Amino acid sequence: MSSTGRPLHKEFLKGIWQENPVLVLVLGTCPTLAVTTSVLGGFSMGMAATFVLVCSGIVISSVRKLIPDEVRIATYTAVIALFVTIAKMVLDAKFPEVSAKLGPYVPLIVVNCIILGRIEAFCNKNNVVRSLLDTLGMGVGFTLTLVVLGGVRELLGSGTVLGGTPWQRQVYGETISPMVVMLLPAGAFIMFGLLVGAYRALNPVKR
Amino acid sequence: MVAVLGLTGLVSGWSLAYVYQVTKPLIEANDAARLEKALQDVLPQAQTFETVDIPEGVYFVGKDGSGAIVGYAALAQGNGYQGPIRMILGIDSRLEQMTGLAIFPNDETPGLGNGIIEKPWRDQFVGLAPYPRVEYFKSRSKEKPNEIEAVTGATISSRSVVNTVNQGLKVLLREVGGVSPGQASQFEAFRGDDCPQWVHQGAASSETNQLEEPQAVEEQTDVDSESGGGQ
Repeated sequence: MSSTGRPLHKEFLKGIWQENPVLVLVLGTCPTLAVTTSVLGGFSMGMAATFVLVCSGIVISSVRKLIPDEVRIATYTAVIALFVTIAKMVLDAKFPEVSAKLGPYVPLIVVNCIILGRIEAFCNKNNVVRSLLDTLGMGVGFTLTLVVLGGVRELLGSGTVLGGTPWQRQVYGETISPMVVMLLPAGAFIMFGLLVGAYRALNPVKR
Repeated sequence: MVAVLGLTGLVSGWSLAYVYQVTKPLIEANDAARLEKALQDVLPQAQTFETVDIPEGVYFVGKDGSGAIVGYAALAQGNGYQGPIRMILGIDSRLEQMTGLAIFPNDETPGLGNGIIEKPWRDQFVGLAPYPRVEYFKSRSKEKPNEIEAVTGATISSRSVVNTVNQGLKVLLREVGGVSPGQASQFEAFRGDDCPQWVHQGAASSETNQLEEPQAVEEQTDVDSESGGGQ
């Protein structure tokens, strides 16, 4: 039950680069592959997951000493499901277009491994402040990765930038047809592999 | 142990009930606004819409400021590639020309089948007559007045929309009336369809009996070399 002893800013920053949940821990790849057909899809998915992650992280870390070990996973799941349902209702109420675009992937945040993973591996053992910074960092890291992946796939697959937002631009597509495969699951795997490869090139694993 | 789980459930349930109460009217308002927007889209001249219940669901009568009927709109649903596609189609008050087609958010493949929601594609339906049956074509140019070009790489989605439009038009023509006997049989001839929501109830109604040979004119089978891979 001891804290990690890291400086607090590192607790936040590690999720963005050094321990990026998608590129390093390779968690939460289902939404990563499924909704990143555009920047808007990736961003809204990232924000919804971050909301759930941070809220459940705060709740769990503040009551972590009260939860018996035997039922901790069940308790985590109940808390996560609570925030996912809230996220879905709020999206439906305030951003119906975004909600329609994400479809079933918002309810599926419940089984996003990043969330259960961070709660079990971190929030369970650390205080509220550290848990907040950790989950926030992981959420931002997740969102950024989804936005990058969504941006590349959108540009290659639809020829647009920031499609569906007020700033959308059609870059090409009149004379050159975009690569539709980039919008399909195959394109998601290809771009995801290239992205992880690029990350590894920039940040080699130390042996 | 039980206390912790029970308490978690209780607190979660209570919070959800609260959020549900707050968001429910907003969600319903969004759905209503979406319907209203789609209706405005297919019947731009109409200012008020009157909902009429029919066995298949509902249709809408669009009226302008003075109360004169400017057109009709039907809410129709068909099966697409990934799931149901819901749409609203509009027709003018004399049932001669389609005035528009609006398609609700659906699960068709982004970038392929989802091309059916693009306005330029939907606008191909504007001005089409309700009979003979609307058809689609691909890999060639337009030859007949009542056909539309399928979305590239999305034949199944396009076909589903076309079939649903035909079904919706058929129901509108029947419900609103104004179909002369000759036109009716011509229209009635197009019976093959894969749009269960409209089909079963539509076929069950009395009009089926008016046809001498209901099975004589089968829908021409689409020999679709791409249908396996494309949609």
